[in-house]
Amino acid sequence: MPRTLVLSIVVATFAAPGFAQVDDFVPVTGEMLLSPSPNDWLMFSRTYDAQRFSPLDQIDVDSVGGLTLAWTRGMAEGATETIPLVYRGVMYVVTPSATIQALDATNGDLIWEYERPGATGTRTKGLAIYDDVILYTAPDSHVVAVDARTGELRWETPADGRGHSSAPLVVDGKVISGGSCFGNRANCFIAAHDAGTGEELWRFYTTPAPGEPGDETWAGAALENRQASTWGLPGSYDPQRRLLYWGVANPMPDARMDRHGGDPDGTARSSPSDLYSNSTIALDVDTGELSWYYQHLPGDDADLDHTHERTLVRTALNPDPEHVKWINPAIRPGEVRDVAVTLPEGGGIFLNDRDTGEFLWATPFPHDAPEMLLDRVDPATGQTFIDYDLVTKGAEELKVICYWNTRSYWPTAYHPETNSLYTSYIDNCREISTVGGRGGRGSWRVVPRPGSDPNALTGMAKIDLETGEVTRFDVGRAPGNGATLTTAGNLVFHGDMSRRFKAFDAETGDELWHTVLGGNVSVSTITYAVNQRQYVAVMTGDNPKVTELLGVVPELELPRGHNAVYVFALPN
Amino acid sequence: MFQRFFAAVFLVLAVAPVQAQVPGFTPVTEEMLLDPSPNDWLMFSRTYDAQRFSPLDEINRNNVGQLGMAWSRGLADGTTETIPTVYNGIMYLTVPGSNIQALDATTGDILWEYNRDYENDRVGPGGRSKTLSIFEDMVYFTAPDATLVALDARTGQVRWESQADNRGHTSGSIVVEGKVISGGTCTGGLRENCYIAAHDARTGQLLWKFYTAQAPGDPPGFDTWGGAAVETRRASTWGLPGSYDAESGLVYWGIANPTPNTRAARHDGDSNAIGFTSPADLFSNSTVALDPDTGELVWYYQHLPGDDWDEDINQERIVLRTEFNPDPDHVRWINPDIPRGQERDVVVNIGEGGGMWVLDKNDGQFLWATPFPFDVNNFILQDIDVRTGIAHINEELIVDEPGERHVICFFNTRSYWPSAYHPGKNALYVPYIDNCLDMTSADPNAPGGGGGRGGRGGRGAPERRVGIPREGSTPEEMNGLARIDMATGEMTHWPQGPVPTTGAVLATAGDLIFWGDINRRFKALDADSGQLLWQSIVGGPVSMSTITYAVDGRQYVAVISGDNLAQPGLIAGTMGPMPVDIDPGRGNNAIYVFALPE
Repeated sequence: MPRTLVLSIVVATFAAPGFAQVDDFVPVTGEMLLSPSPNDWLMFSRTYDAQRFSPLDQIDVDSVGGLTLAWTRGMAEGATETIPLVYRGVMYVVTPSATIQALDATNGDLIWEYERPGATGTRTKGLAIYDDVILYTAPDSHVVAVDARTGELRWETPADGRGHSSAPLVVDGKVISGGSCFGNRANCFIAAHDAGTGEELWRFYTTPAPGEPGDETWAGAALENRQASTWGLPGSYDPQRRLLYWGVANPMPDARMDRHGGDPDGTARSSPSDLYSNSTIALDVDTGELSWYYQHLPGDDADLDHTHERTLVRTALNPDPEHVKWINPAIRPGEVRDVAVTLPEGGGIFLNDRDTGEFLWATPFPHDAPEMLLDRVDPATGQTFIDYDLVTKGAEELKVICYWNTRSYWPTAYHPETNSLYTSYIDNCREISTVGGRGGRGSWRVVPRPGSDPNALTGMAKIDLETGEVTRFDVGRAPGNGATLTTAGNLVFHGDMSRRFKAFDAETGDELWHTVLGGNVSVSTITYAVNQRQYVAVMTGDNPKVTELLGVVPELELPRGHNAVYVFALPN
Repeated sequence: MFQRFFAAVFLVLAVAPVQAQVPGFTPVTEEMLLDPSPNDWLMFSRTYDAQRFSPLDEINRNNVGQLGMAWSRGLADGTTETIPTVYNGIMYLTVPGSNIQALDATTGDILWEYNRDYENDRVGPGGRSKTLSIFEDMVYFTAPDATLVALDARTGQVRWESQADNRGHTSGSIVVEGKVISGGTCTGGLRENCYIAAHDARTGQLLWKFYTAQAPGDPPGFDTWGGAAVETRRASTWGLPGSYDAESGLVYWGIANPTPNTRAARHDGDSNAIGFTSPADLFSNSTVALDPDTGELVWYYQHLPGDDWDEDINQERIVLRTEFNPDPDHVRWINPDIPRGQERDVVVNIGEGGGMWVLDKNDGQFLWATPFPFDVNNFILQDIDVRTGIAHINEELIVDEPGERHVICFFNTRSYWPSAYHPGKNALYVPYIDNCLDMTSADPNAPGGGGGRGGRGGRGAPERRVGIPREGSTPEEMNGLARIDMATGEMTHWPQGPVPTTGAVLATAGDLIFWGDINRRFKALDADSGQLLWQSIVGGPVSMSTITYAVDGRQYVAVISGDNLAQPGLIAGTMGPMPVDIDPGRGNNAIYVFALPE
């Protein structure tokens, strides 16, 4: 049957709009970084002092029970160990595929994204922002600046072969960043680049060379083999003293005998030994010159990583001998000091004076244990000593060394009202066997501390910085890889590997709210405000520690690969 | 040190996960399936009538604004087009990868997991199973390797497996009177794989099959396939499973389009081998009513005879009771023999190709039908004989000359995401995309020739099929939810903007309609006004899934985000237009569960 052949057809089409750019962008000034708006989160721990304390208080102990999901957004596959930035309602975040995304911080809608060519996985801990650029230590060992409005590349500078698993900090227009060593001392350095041009301004090598102070602490080891990196969280900054405080990781290879020609006694048993491994270093921000150092663990034998943030606080000193093992007798009880606080992966708490590095007090953490490689601290000088009995000496040996990642690259938080530092901890140690393993080179595994309570494997600690008293809460069996956040709402936020994200009363540690996320919490936790509404953001996802820790707590049956950001707020 | 994860020898004790049991399990009875507790969600649309209505009303118009996330849980990579089952506080869920998890429905913590071993690694992640079913102490899974699997609801252990030929499994099952009834695709291009089957729920024994493509001797007693080879006649049940009505004693199932898509391709190049009125190529694009005891056909109704465009008039059949009073201002085809105001028990369906039909549930008598979501001249049907219900395909739009081009309405205006009915309002809530098909037949004599079917390289232009907006539609009104008064057929459109949906609709006694879109928005609308009362933003595109349940007196609403087969086409604009640039991401598979603050 004949039918009409339609020749002209009206085909409706809609024009597809392109992606947006950040509207009305206001450049970030040095003043903003020194005194940021409470609404923003401009660096990894919000402020230069790495306190991770937010003055926002719309969400507080009374209202937190009503906290509800505002938005969530899935992210690509890969590792996520990062902390988002928020500036004027825009969230800048490194996704697990090493791509930077700019998201509307009120709904998670994509504004722009910058894909780093050639970069795949990333362990980047965070971004920095200054003027109109986002600064990124890309995993392909470049320091990169992208336009904060559009995501377009502004400059990139190669940083030798230095691996990038840390994050940058911007001080006075300088982008300061650490990295890993990638098997050669030539790559073990902290660098400063000009934020406007990418030009390298200075480098500080984190191990000394022959002819430099501290050379002798390597007992003649070959220069290229003197390795101690800054792979973890970046440093902090004291604008009054114009000093950067940076934590340097363990010396490599991990074992003393492997670093020193097969001789476990080939380097000193007390500080200084293999500098600047497991030390706090204070650098002049203008020149990169060393002002002082303090070595927390000399001549490490077990990869105990005294890296990560140094929290800068002003506190009265009244360390209680009931709680604090090593106290400098020169401290006048009640005196108020500017201090740098260190919580190493290998356990312990250290307070040092910010001007000179003078030792103030230190104590084992999370518990005092004979398996701690740190044997003692000379209270008067601060000199540290290892327990040589615990050092691996080459025969068929099986040793348990404490602690192992009792905290790691998930930052701690300080609350000025309680003058307390809040951290999660895991009561894990490292069992080292000198036999077996790949090629007979030995092996290791993570074990709970010998004799510890299986039902108290993990917890949160409130550390009173005046007295050193440790109060524990949220004790259980769910390890935390999440950053701790404190707020002026007298809240502590923290999430763990059981998918629980919780808010605690900063005074009592009582749990006031929790939700259950799609996967384990990873680093990340921040708070910010847009249009007078306070938000709390947290990320879930894979990081290398999850695989390791699930060997200790397999009962968690965690969904893997759930990489996402979740943002909570009070109902509108 | 940084390199430790790559260089160090790292030992983790290989501890097998401890699998918990479902405590205090009570077997699911036939009575529970017929009249389920409001707390549970025991089949894909909660009740046998596929209404997707929950009597729960703790969450209602007054308090829905306080709805917050109770828990979420990430899901593996792969396709997710499924709807969870909830029984006594346990959620049974087909997760991407085509494995089954039993979760504590209050926390998402896992109780047991059934990981099926697929011979081909692509089969599990590509699984499109729409739903599980539950009866006595077993959960029934139409696994994508064409096997019907019964799992112990307490432990997840396999109780029995029954191979269903090579039938592909992208649908699901319902359990009726101890029989697991399931549909599937027609894998291999063979009629022998096109059937609805019933298996004994306790033993897995095959009880009957109903072949969904007519063979000689099948009803109605004459050949409707124009003599096409019997072994390759195909029309599948790939989509949502059927419904059941205890009063009529019938199972109602929607059958998809005939395959291949075009009339000519099915009939040796002769588009006119079949007629333009029903029946043609049975039981394609039909409702079939089967006796669940025997699988015998009691009645059928063909909505679209001799399809030429892949218009899929399958998906759920909703059974409901309504006054008959269709308004000619809203309804194009009305049976004049039916007394006005009469209460009727009806079966309602909405095609992917648009249109809605209302039939008598006992004998399939035509009551009324009308184009959906809008009335257009280039609708798939040109007419329905209102007394007999005989449907007449729109002949003008048949694409059988070389290079012939038409725009046919509609096209995937809805798909396997189910609609919902609110009995208190006598209203059906149907998501729509105001989308038509722009189709050009292959032209072997055209110069050039691009990609696509039959056209790669050399001369000739391939057949071209692309979704386009209906003429006259606007981006702001491109997608929405239609509220249809089932007595009068009056259709109210609630436009939701340019973003399409692949989410199931849920209606509750709280007078709420829950629904999500592919730009991550999950919404609660007022069932009367369509007003937006609450919204959250989930991690990825909402896919199917939306249900509600209660545990210990607390009501929960669950929704799944993630990848399904419809989204890429919707976002790329090949399946339908996307007049807005969104990037909800791929692979963001997770379940989100909301509740009021405790």
